[in-house]
Order: sequence, then structure tokens, then C-alpha cells
Amino acid sequence: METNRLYAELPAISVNEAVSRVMISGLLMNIRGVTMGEIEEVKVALSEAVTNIILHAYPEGYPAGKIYIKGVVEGGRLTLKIWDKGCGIANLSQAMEPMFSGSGSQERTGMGFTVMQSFMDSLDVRTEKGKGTSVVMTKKLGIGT
Amino acid sequence: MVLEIKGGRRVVIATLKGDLDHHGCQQIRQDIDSVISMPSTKILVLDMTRISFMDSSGMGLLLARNKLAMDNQVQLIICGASVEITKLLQMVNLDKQIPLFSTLEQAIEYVERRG
Ligand SMILES: Nc1ncnc2c1ncn2[C@@H]1O[C@H](COP(=O)(O)OP(=O)(O)OP(=O)(O)O)[C@@H](O)[C@H]1O
Ligand SMILES: [Mg+2]
Repeated sequence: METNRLYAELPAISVNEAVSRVMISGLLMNIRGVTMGEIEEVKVALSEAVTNIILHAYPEGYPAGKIYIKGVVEGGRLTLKIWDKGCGIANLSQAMEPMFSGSGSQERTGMGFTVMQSFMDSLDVRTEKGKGTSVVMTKKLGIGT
Repeated sequence: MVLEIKGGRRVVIATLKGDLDHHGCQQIRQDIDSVISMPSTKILVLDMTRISFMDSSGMGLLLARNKLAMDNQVQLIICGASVEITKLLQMVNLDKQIPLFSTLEQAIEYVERRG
């Protein structure tokens, strides 16, 4: 199967949650044997990382920033990288625990990283204070070749 | 419109529409809260048949609405959740706290049986 790739820079505003999902669906649609369920799971995982950038990466006082997305499909495997140039995460292992949220909001359950982990095959998060955060996820899709 | 209200005053059926992501939740939250806060509401059926997408923002929305419902002595019921959405509900044990049904018909039957 041919290699296909996608790169996007989007302003960190909430309408782009849906925009990013449409883009990734388009990239995955032609993979041989891919199921709707697999595409849905990737959409949820991507949405978690994108929403985290919109909500947490560029807090008050930070210049409005961007969401960076790179997707590569090779041999039926997706590698998806989502990153920002924002504030970074002070305590990463705590942030990745289920039900931990650094935002004081009642509406956040702190399940974003847990959802990424359970819907993808692998999850790797790197962060540096004041420099930004990057999330790399992979998933095997369809029958591959 | 993201929320369509049917049913009576005691049992309210709310058909949610669109995406339950962070963007979509902002619009839907107040509509659900205003129904829960009405003193006549005793049972609120959230029909998710037309929700095409949900992530952790939707989980947070439903957890917080369930808390508000309990505080107001309102029983929440969810129907029509897709396979992926059901997985997310299970991750935060919402399936143990709220009765879940595959279809609206089954949810209504449950409400009628309980009287
Ligand atoms: N890109 C990021 N930049 C800065 N902080 C981040 C970033 N992503 C995550 N975080 C921090 O990690 C915490 C945990 O993220 P996670 O997605 O698991 O939960 P949440 O976003 O708080 O809640 P939920 O995703 O359930 O709505 C966040 O509350 C935030 O403090
Ligand atoms: Mg999150």
C-alpha cells in the first residue's frame, strides 16, 4: 500500500476540533480493510489531543497559538503527531493519570489521556515547560499490506 | 437547534444533536440544565441516536449533568448511544449510574413500566 501523509496548522479555536476530525477521516478512508469503528476511535483520540491544546496549551497571558497535526499512513499503520508551542505540562505523570485534571472546571473529568491510550495502540507524550507539548500515537488499521 | 424537547412535563425526552465535543457541549449544556432545573421534571430521557461524535468533553458533560439531576431528584436515562460512546460511558462508570437503552422505544417502555 502507498504511503500517504497529512500536515496541518490550525488556530487553537474550538471549531477546529471538528475540522481536524474531518481531515483525519479523509486520510484513513482509503486504507484497505479499515473499519468505521477504527476510524471512529482515531477521531476520538485526535479530538482529545486537539481539545487539550485549545483548552490548556495557551492559557491567559499566552499569545494565541496553533495546533500542529502530522499524520502518516504506511503499511496499514497510522502514526499521528499532535503538538503545540504552548506552556507545557508541569507534572506529566500526574496529568496522565485517569481522572486527573489540571483545570479547575467541574466539566472536565481528566480522562483525555486515558481515552487516547485505550483507543490507540501506543501513546507517547513529551513536554517542556514554556516550549510546548507533543503527543505521538500509533494504530494498526485494517488488514494492511 | 441542538436540543429538541418532547414528552410531558414530568417525563421529558430530549433529542441531542450534533457533536458532543468541547465545542458542541458549550451549546448543549445550558439547554439540558434548564430542563433539569424545572421543578416539574422527574425523568429526563437523553436520546443520543443523533449524536454522531463524543469524546471526554461529552463524558464530563454527562457526569456533571447526572450530578445536577441527582441534586434535583431527577432520574436521567440515556438511549441510542453508539458502540464507541458506550465504551466511553463505561470508562467513567456512567453505565452503572444511569439506565442505558439501545433505542428510545425501550427507554419509554422502561419509564412506563416503572409508572
Ligand atoms: N497540550 C497541553 N498543554 C498544556 N497542558 C496540557 C496539555 N494537554 C494536557 N494538559 C494538562 O493535562 C491535564 C490532563 O489532560 P486530560 O486530557 O487527561 O484531562 P482534561 O483535559 O483536564 O479533562 P478531559 O479531557 O477529560 O475533558 C489537563 O487538565 C492539563 O492540565
Ligand atoms: Mg482533555
